[in-house]
Amino acid sequence: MKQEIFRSRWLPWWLSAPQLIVLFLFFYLPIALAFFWAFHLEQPFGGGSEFVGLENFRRVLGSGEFWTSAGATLLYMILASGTSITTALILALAADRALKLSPLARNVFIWPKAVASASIGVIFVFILNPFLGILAPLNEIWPGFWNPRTNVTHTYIMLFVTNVWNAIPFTFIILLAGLQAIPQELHKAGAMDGSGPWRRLWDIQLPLLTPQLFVVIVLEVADSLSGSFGLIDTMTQGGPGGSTNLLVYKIYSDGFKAYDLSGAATQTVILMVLVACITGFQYFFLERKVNYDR
Amino acid sequence: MIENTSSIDRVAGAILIAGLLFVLTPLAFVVITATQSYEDFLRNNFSLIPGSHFLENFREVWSRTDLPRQTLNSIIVGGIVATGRVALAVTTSYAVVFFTGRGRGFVYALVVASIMLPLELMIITAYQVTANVALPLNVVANLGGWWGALFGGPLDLQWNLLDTYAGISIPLMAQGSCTMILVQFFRTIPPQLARAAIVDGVGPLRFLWDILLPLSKGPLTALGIYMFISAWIQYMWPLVAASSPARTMAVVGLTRLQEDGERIPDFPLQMTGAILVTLPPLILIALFQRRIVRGLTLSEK
Amino acid sequence: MLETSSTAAIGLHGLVKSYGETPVIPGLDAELRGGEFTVILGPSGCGKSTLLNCIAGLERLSAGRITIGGREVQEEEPKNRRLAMVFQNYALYPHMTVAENIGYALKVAGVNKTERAARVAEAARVVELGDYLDRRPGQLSGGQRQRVAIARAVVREPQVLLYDEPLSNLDAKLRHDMRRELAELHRRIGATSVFVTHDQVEAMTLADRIMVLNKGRIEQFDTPEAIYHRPASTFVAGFIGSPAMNLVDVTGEGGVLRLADGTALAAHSHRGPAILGIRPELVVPAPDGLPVQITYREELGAHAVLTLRLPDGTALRMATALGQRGGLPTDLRVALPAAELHLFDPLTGKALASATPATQTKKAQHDHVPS
Repeated sequence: MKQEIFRSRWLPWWLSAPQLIVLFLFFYLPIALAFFWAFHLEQPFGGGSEFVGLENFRRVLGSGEFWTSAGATLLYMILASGTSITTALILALAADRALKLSPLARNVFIWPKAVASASIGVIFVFILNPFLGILAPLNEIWPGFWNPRTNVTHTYIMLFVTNVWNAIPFTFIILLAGLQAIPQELHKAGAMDGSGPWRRLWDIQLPLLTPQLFVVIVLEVADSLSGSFGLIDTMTQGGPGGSTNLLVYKIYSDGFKAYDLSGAATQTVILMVLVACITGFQYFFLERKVNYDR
Repeated sequence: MIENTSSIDRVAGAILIAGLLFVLTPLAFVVITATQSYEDFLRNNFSLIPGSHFLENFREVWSRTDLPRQTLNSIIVGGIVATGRVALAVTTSYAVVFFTGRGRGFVYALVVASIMLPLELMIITAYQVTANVALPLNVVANLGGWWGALFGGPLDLQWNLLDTYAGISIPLMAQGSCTMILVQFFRTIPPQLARAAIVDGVGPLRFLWDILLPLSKGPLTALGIYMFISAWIQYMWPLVAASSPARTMAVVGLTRLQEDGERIPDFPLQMTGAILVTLPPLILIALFQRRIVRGLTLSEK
Repeated sequence: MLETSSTAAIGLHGLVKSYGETPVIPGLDAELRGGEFTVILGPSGCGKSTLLNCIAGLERLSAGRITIGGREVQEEEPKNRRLAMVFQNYALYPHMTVAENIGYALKVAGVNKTERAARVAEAARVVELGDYLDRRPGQLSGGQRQRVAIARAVVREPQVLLYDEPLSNLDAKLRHDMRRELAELHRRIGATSVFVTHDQVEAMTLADRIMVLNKGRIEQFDTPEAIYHRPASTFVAGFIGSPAMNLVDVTGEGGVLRLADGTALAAHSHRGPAILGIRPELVVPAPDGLPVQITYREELGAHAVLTLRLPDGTALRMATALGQRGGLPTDLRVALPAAELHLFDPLTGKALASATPATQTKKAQHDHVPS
């Protein structure tokens, strides 16, 4: 690390203490508690806890509902982050060109950041309402053409479209900044080497964008999960037939509606380990491939 | 450059137009629907023609729902979270970047790790902690029962922050991205600046207050605005942390506008509410787009 | 051995380049001879890089024509101009290996793998990079990156090689070595070369001919020797040479040049006001010369540079002979040999024809191809 100027034994600790306390209380302690409850059973009527070993895991992993939910979560993470990153990448590549529309687009494309996932859920569930929304006329011509309330594929399409809308800004900002950080001279050198704008896209821009793509993939996987709650709670409530009951939503229902603290905590632990593994995997297997000295 | 770029420019232009339509069309539908009366809406369903009922709808949202109150809550929570996160980030990044000594790397790692697991994943136990913030004290005091031996009974402090502004706000600050961005920014400040200050006899706190903060005003404002917006659009945590309507935030309130199930919901009213809930952060984003982008991408260089 | 198929002359005809309302190059005509090494020299902001970018096709002309080997190219894309360029900060592709960097143009052109490998190896050999073909640019030193950039340019066997201040990022010693190697390379491949720099040493050592540019106009376009010994203007006189040429306001009376206070400075037949120029190393001690005062002395080891004060207060720099040691007498007297004087018009700064013995300078400046 650079800088390192002042010498003081205690001052830096005093300075970092407030943030460390907040992180301890509301980040590390909840994680620890989740692990605690995953191995304990809460006594009914608030009577303390009893160590039960792996009993909670046996119960959770033994239920088919959990596996449906875990599968849906994995599918959602991959497809939601995949679709939103691809869309934002295409938009960033287009907005990187000096067109008349570019300044407007660069501004408008980050507007969705101001819209909460729950708000856009409310909005899209209305717009895509099979009887009242924009696709309603098509449903009158071909009944059943669009029905996210019963058709699982339609439900997921609706979730992904809404998620893409909501997730564009952050990814777009990072990728566009990455594109603009590519020295103009490399474009010139490419042109001198006979490489036209389309070819430079593949040979120069995309390879040099991989560090940003890496950052975006890591963050978007976790983000797609946290954003999923607002969408599911307002759009599908886990339906149809539990097909969109992602772990985040299931944990919420199990904990706050069914009051199954131990079960919810156990699933929390599984989900956290899953996300941590995916992130760790990305670090170890992707990161070393993507860094160049500029 | 002398180059024939018409084909790629045409494609890029088409993509931008498609992107703009994709982002703006839903917003346009919200606005159009908000201008219609419930009766019009029932008769025409989805319409592309704006009605003239917006003011009536707005008046109804303003007087008959809790949204105005909840919008105020969002402003309060957003303000607390933005100020808090920026303040915490300033002190921590200052300690991490400008001081020698052990533990800086460890502190930074603790902070950065918190970016990987969002609050939504650990909502159950975060709720538990907020319901009794004194929990860790109790745990430490009752380890091995020493407190009981000294004072004749286990320590059982209760400090419930649920349904308070603090309880909604502080957990939202337990995330390190703001600090990470600021650390990147502080590292770009020439170290000669601090060395010169030391030579002039300026102490570390004085340097922070007199030199570093004024110097960082731009990025700090941008970060503050961004954190305000981030807090405003929270949904899951405010949903569980605030149970009384008096502490509910606007986004949660918006989703509760329709709860009577059977009849066709009053979409025009709901969309009017969506406008009220979305407009403040949207205006901030549109106005401060450049600054926010610059503030955020600092960490990506 | 790398060879260019032919050497192509570059013609610049009425070339105008402006950004919005601001003209960077207000109108420029010149002929850069085929196979020659031309250095474009000037202070920053004089338009030299813009001119190079125009030749390369990286900038569009506002008006005028460019010919390369007799073919009009101002509307052609860079890749069709049969030229290659070495950029100031190398502009290597950071994600490609050295071999991929050098071979990229060939790959784009669809050259097959075996031939590509052979030509890359040959180009790498020319710049002595053979051992580094599998490295990435990030793993190379500045000098090695420079070689990759040069190899990338020569591998395409261009008719014209363009260099945009390629040595400015290197340290002094490396710069010296690279200069020699560039001269060597030019001798071997013989492509028409255009080299932009603000460094007069690079210009003097590398160039067949130097184009001195000032505010987008050619001040002088001639051999290094002519530029040094017969500067066409006070700008050239002051820009080339270190320490710079002395420039003193004088008035000629048909036999003697006098300072403002009437002191006779040198013998010359010129009449009327003029700017007198004389190189510091040509100011010589003379027992019967002008009495001067030494106000400042810079010891440079091999020789010294003195700042002298003439009787009327005018400052004059004088370089002592190489290898001379020891002090000069305090009652120093100096002379300005008539044969070494340059006279410039006080209004335009242009050399006065009567004062410059050779007329070649004038000719070169107006050199251009009949169209």
